[in-house]
Amino acid sequence: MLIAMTSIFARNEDCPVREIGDGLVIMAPAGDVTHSLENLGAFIWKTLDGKTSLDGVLDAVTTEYDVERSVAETDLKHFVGELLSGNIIVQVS
Amino acid sequence: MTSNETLELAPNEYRMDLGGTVIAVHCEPAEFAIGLGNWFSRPSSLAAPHIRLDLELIPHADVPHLPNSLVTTKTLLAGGRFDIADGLITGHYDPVAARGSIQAKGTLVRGALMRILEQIFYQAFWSARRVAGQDAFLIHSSAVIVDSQGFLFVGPSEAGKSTVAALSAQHHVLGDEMNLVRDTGSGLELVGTLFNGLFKAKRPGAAPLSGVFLLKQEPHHALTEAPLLEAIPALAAEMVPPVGLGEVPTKETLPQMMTLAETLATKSRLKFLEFLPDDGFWQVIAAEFGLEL
Repeated sequence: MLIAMTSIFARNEDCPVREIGDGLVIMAPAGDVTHSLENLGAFIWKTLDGKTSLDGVLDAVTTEYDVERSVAETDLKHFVGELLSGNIIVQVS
Repeated sequence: MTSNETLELAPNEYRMDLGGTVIAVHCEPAEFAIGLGNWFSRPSSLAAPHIRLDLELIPHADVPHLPNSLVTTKTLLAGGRFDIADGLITGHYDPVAARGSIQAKGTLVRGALMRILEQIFYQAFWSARRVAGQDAFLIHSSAVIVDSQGFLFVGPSEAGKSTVAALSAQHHVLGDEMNLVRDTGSGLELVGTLFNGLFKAKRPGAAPLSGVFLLKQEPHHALTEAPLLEAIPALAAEMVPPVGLGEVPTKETLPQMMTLAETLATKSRLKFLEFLPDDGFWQVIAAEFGLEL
């Protein structure tokens, strides 16, 4: 899946979410699959607010975490692709 | 009504007590009440029931489809009726009167197929639990009492729950299929149920819940920390959905299962149990929990 850094994504409001410690458990809309997100994953998921582009999310990640931007960009695209295929986020634009 | 009262049994009645939540089943044909007692290897409870169900076995000529789940194949019909797996089981439940009726195709009482019919009583439990007002839930698991402490072993199919029960036969095995956990206010209590798994020498009983173990088959025995983020979804997956007889799952069902799992995880000592298929795992549990084996 090709994901442009100008794309904007939002959390799927149909997915129930449970905060556990620093992480999140997100339940898929079908109700039979759960996704557990640890620190960085939970941070990214919270940043997908339907307004911020992936470039903006990447800015937030590299500000918050000590990670090389090019590495973070590759990982971010991969991660967003997984969230999208799990239907726990939706593409806004 | 509380289960401290007792009521005389009707001739066609089998009454099951699930940790103080009591379900009366009035059978047609009447002899099936004896059949239920034989299947569960338990005499009927004499405690006053919280709900009453009329269970009728229906003769049929067709070969019905047998589902894995009586919850996901359930639909609600007009007038408070429900249908499971295209007529395999139909019924009605009135939560105000705490009464219901169930019609099940007769094939479900043949041998191991009874384990499918058992699942309707999971739903009956949730209907009865609401009447009883108990803070309790059912979880797919094995359960063992050692040294007056209750231990719960949880994992998906093939994780080793029945193996653990078989390797614990020298202790008090509550069951290897379905156990009940209730919050007494001062802690969690583990209670065996009458539901059948593969381990036949299960015995009724209850004990304070000391440890919950998520099973991992490994080439060694060890207890390791179970991070909540990993453990709670794993526990939730083994919870009986809180769906009563006249209900179907909603978008709230899975969050409710997660809440039950969170209760279990945070009010007990939760560990991964890495184990080989021999009884050496009890040595590591004994060391951790101060047991005298």
